[in-house]
Amino acid sequence: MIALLARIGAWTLGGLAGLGRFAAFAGAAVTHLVRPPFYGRELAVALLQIGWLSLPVVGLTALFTGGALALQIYAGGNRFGAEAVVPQIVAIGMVRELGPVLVGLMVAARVTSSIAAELATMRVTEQIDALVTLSTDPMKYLVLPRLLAATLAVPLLVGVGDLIGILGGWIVGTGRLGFVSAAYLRNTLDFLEPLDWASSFAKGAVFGFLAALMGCWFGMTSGRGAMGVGRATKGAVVAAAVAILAANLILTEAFFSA
Amino acid sequence: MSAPAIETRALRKTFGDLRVLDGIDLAVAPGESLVVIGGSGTGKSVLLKCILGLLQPDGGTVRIEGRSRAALAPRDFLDRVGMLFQGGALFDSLPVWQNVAFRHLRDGMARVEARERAIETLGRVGLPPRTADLYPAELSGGMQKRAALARAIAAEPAFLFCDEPTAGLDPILAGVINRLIRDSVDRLGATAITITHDLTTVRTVADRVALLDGGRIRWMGPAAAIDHSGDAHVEQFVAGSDRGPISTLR
Ligand SMILES: Nc1ncnc2c1ncn2[C@@H]1O[C@H](COP(=O)(O)OP(=O)(O)OP(=O)(O)O)[C@@H](O)[C@H]1O
Ligand SMILES: [Mg+2]
Repeated sequence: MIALLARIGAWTLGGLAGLGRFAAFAGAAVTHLVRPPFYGRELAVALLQIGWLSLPVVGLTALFTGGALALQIYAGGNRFGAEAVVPQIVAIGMVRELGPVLVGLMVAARVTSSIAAELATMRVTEQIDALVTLSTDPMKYLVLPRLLAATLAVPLLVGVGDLIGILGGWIVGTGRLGFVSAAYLRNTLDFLEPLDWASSFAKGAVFGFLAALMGCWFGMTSGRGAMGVGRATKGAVVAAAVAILAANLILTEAFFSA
Repeated sequence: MSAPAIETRALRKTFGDLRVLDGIDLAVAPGESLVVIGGSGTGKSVLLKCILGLLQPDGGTVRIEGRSRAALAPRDFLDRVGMLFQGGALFDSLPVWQNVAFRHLRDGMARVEARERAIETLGRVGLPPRTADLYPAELSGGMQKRAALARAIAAEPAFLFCDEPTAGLDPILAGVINRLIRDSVDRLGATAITITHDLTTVRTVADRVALLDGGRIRWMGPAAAIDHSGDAHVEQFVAGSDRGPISTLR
């Protein structure tokens, strides 16, 4: 019994210490934003990797989801004669909720995993130690560009995802459900408010930051060997996905509960 | 007398219950070349990493030019360091020349000039210009080691650390590398610590030799003395014998 309590105590303390180290890591990374030197080339590469090269997967995800959403709302709305609201609900559903969350999760899958695996491999093969001996701060050279690129690029990805999701709804709505194209688009545009877009971009920025932060943290603190790299990657993706969904709830509450 | 370039006092490092360094006292004079020998797994690489600050020692101090290493700004130490890792540790996402020119590129040297300099440095470790545009994974093990040495010496460091520079090289290239390290000390006035198992390296590179065993410096003396040191550890090491004070189980 005592031993069990002691074990629980040790776990709790260990967990808290880990959380403290994580918070210190995140804080230190952010302070590098205002302390030179800055590595512009690294930032450009990260923007390309995280933003541009994520476009295909984000576009496809949003397209299919927007289409499916239109079908569901039509079928569901049919039960009480409200099938005409498809354009409005697709728009609000994509922009407020599905766009940011789906893009966030796809970024967690595509970007978090690759950051974690790359940094963990660098850790394991002493490349991060080598950076230090070349008097280059890994936080500045490796972590900051990725954090910054994700925080800047993911909101744009979310914007693109929102639009393509609406496009998916429009394709299904006009092609399968008999909506008139002009009316569909007008209903969509009239219905969306600036706050909807603002929440979408804000979520994108937060989700992007969280996705990159988890990749960097798990990568930089990776254990040894191939197993360490595998663990870091798995941990990073799971942590990023959970953090994104939790942050989504908090942000939705902050923007729309009133 | 001026302070030693590199000095450790009572340096200790343990991993779990494995006591790897157990009170290391070393002093390397400015412009001196120290070679550290000792059995595999006795903590030579760990010693270098503790000196560089890549590993946090559990006790003892490291001083650079008389000042505590932990308190030094980059320009006082790391900016002047060249380190060759035992495993090379080349950046595998960069082509070889960008590895070698890493410091120069980071400090804003024009890419054309940085590339030319990198190719020249690669030449000094016996790598032909065509290797410059390859990626580290496309080089053989010995070529990677030499490219990593090129990266270490590219910015003419004042402190040169080499972890087994000739491991995996043929004797001819090993000779080239040994002379290169010696040259950094003689011509550029670098202070060097080299780890090796290679007795030729000991004889060509060392001013002084330290033998590490059981977490301590067992013997330290001038390079010329290793053949008649009168020390059982050194004699066993030089003879390559399985009988003597150095355990073969480690
Ligand atoms: N990060 C680490 N975690 C745990 N143990 C370690 C770590 N690094 C080194 N060790 C242990 O410390 C001991 C010394 O390792 P080190 O790499 O310094 O040996 P070495 O003298 O350089 O050997 P070699 O000549 O084979 O390179 C070994 O027993 C090794 O298992
Ligand atoms: Mg070693």
